[in-house]
Amino acid sequence: MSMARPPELRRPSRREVLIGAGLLVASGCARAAVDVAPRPTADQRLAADVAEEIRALAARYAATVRRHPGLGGVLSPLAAEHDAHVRALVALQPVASPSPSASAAGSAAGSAAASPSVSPTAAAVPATPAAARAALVEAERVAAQRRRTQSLRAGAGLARLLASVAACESVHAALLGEG
Amino acid sequence: MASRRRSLRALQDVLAGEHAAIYGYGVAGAWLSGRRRDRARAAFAAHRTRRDQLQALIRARGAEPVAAAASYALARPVTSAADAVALATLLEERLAAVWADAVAQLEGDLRRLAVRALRDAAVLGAQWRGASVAFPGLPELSP
Repeated sequence: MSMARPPELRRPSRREVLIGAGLLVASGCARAAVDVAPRPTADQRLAADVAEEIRALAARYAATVRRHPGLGGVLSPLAAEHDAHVRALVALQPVASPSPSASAAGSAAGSAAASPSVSPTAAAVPATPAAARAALVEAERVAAQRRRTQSLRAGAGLARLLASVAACESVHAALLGEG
Repeated sequence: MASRRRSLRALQDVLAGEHAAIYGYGVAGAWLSGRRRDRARAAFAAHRTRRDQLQALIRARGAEPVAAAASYALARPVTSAADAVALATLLEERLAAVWADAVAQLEGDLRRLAVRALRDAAVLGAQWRGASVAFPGLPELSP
């Protein structure tokens, strides 16, 4: 019976102990972050504000489709892109805060569609599909302009993301304006 | 200094991209007619304007603008209008990516220029493609 000692029973090296201690400290920090949200950076605050604006834009789309279901085919793919923008921005948030905002983002489209009361802009949807579409063109133009301005005061990485989101919103305005 | 070098490098990168796009539109435009030919012609002119602007900005910084290559390897041969539309779409997608990277490298008025150029590439790309994409110029977030 000369079996080698199973590897998991050998004593950990000093290096392994040190790494383990580091992990404990790291996980301790992570746990603390759940209780006390870390102070977000300027870029994280900006990203959170932008996510909020895009949720409002997405809510207008949802309200428009409720009022004019015939526009659903045109608007739904564009609304899905707004949702993707929100997810990308929420992913930049500090560890503790994504849980409430991420779940809000994930359910924004669904809950807006499910309960009309959550959308304050529902009443503002114009009565004809053409006018409703034109209103979204204008909303996308305004959003793109805001996004471009926001990208000028963001750090490099966020600026790149916001410039892309702005470009997408300009594309939405162009595509909706053509049809 | 480092930021100045970085700006110059970014401007040269987008200029190289604009050179390639101008060449590509020269190829694509020959296969298109009607409204699509008009669109290609307008895009060609817009890219030349942007090229001239970039060359002036680079010279103003005391550097020599990168020159266009004599010819460019196309992703695949263009022998039909459909190929030409696919090439134009690809040109704008690549240009959007180059401009998006420039946004991250530039600041102030130069960043503003890059943000607008990214928008223009995205709008042209969507017109050729006939559809939107969520993150123009960001290949890492594109399916």
